Amino acid sequence: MADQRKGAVVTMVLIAALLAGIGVWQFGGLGLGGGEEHESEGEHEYEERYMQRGETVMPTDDSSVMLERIAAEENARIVEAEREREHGRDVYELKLAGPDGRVRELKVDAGSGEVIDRD
Amino acid sequence: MKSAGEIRVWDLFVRVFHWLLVLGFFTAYLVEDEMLGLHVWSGYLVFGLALLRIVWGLVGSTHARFGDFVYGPSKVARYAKQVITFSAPRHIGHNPAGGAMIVLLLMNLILISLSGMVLYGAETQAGLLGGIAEALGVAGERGAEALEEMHEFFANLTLLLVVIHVSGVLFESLLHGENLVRAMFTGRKRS
Repeated sequence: MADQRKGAVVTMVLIAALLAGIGVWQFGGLGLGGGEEHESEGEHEYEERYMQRGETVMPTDDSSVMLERIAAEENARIVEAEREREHGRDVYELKLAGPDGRVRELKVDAGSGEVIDRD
Repeated sequence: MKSAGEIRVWDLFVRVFHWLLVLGFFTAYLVEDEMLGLHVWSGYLVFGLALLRIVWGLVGSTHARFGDFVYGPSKVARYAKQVITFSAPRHIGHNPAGGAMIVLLLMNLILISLSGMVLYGAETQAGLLGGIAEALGVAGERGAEALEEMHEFFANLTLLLVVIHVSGVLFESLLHGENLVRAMFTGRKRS
């Protein structure tokens, strides 16, 4: 009985170590701050992240200016922006956090900035 | 309702836990962040179930206890070998490989739940771990991105484990001529 218990603990520790090993192997460290190397998994889907320095948006990027404007119109802050191809149309999927902290999604045309869909 | 030669193996908690977990995991997996509210609540369900299962693993009925189905590594390895040679003995409760899978799945689910809660917190400063995300300094883009990768990776790993788990269940069912999926509904197995 004591042996069985010891073995069980060893198994649990091994499994935990295995998972930790996989985590370190995949993400380096504890998975924090290591996201940059693992940027994309889908080929047609890539994420365009915001380079926000405080309140100012990198001025060189036209689309980020456009998205910031949309966010401002929605009275919300951009949490995440993903560029996707949907039915042959380039769209941005925006996650917006409103002043109340609730997160909404908004789909906008990547070219015109027209709002296509909101949830 | 109890037919002759059958015994109760899985108690009510284990069965309800099992199928709610299936429901919670797949709901969260399939809706992703398309319906974030549903995703988050499914996640809370999975997390709560995993925690309760751990408690039940300590105080539950005979075959629900960790002591009943978590074996030492050498026994798990030996059993795996027996499975490959079609000579794995039948177990009334979980077999050693199945037991190891339960531990692996539970740890995975807790990892996914925690990373999900911190991620939700980092993105929205809301949810159970919103404050913790801020304290950890993962709020904002960089941290959230890394967390999201991790959250997705372990969710996919869990899906793979589920496939292996179900394969194992079907294999054992054929090997021993019993319907183990049915047993997880009725709780009863041939004695």
